[in-house]
Amino acid sequence: MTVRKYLICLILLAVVVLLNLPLPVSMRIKSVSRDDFAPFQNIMSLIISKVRRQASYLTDTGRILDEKRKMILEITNLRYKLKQLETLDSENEKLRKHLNFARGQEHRLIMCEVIGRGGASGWWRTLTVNMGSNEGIRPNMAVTTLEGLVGKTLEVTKLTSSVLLITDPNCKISCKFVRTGSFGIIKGLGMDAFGKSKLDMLCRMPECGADYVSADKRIIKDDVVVTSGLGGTYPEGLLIGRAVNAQMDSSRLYQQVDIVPALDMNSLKYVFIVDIKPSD
Amino acid sequence: MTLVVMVFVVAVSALLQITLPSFALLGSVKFPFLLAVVLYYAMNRDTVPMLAAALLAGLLQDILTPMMPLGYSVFCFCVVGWVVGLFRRLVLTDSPVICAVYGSLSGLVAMLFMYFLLLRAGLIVCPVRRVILKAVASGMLAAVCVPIVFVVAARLDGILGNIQVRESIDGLE
Repeated sequence: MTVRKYLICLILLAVVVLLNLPLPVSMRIKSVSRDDFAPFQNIMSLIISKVRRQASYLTDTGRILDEKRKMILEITNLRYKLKQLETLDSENEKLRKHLNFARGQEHRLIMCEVIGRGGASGWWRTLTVNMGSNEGIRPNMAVTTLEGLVGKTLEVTKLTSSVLLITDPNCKISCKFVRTGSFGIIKGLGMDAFGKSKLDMLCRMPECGADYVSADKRIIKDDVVVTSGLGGTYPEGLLIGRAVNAQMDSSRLYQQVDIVPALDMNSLKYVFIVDIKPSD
Repeated sequence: MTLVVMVFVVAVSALLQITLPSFALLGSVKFPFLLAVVLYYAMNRDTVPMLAAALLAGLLQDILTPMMPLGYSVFCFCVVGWVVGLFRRLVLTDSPVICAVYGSLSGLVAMLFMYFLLLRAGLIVCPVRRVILKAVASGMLAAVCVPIVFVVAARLDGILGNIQVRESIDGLE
């Protein structure tokens, strides 16, 4: 009976200690333990994606062939554009040399595979990717895909990194509207199933909102919004999404804009982490 | 042997919880396998194994959730496990339907309790209607997870000879 009481006291003491751990110690414990779990998470993720792929082979043959045709067309177009861009790039380089301009920033893209979504609790909109500090990833690095911005790295261990999505209310990004040149701050709304009206359920809902957008130039539907480059975390010009609705805020000085992200966060398989290297 | 089964079941449950996809229409709630393990030990065992399971499961949930401070899930699981343990002699864990109903209620309560903990710490921004959706979804998913975890854990305990003879309400077994 005494041993039982001691054990109960010990466990309760452990709970109190855990709740009062200093942040660096807590982060260190989380980081080390998550690394131990990473190989198993990788294997599970692999099994699930294989099962999903096998199931899709059986059901989606027609769609796959159609997609293949579209991709061939897209690759041809992109190769053509790349050739044009190469010419423009060399021309740009020559002009920069003439004007004695330094090249702004060099970006290295680190390709990662998504191995988990939403952590273990689902309270925050996050992803877990299969690369960490061993590949040079650090906290607060921009995460993107070819279609648009995904978010930023949050907690990085040796083997894995967690990514905070732009649709999470804790993620705030300095943005710029391409047409008007207005700046603003984008924040995730964290909404999943509830929009502002019932009809919103029928289309893609605004998952982000931009605040502090100057009222001077009116934002209209389908205005494209990109990262402004201010703050240093996100490089300039990464596509975030498009505006769906704009209204004046209570102060009448700024506009509040509802934004639909450029990509569907639920179907991400691979993402790129942007390593910004300052130029010499 | 109880500890071996506990560690194995908790580890597999954690793996399933982080890997299985969540559904946007259900508020992105994950399948609460770890809570189901705590409920299994709360309804079938004494306070010490229940607290040990809550400590292990909560610790893993905290570790595997970015932004979650250590100890929050542990505290939540300990409280829910303790409350569930108070009623364990009144519940027949052999019936999957009863397990599902009991698990569903526990899932709902655990989600609301966790919401208040995180809100008090200023860690989340979540509208009330979305919290209600999450709580209901958690209850629904727990109704699926709990009977499965109960069957698997009981089988494992049976294979390794860990099953304890339970006293029924009137003292007859």
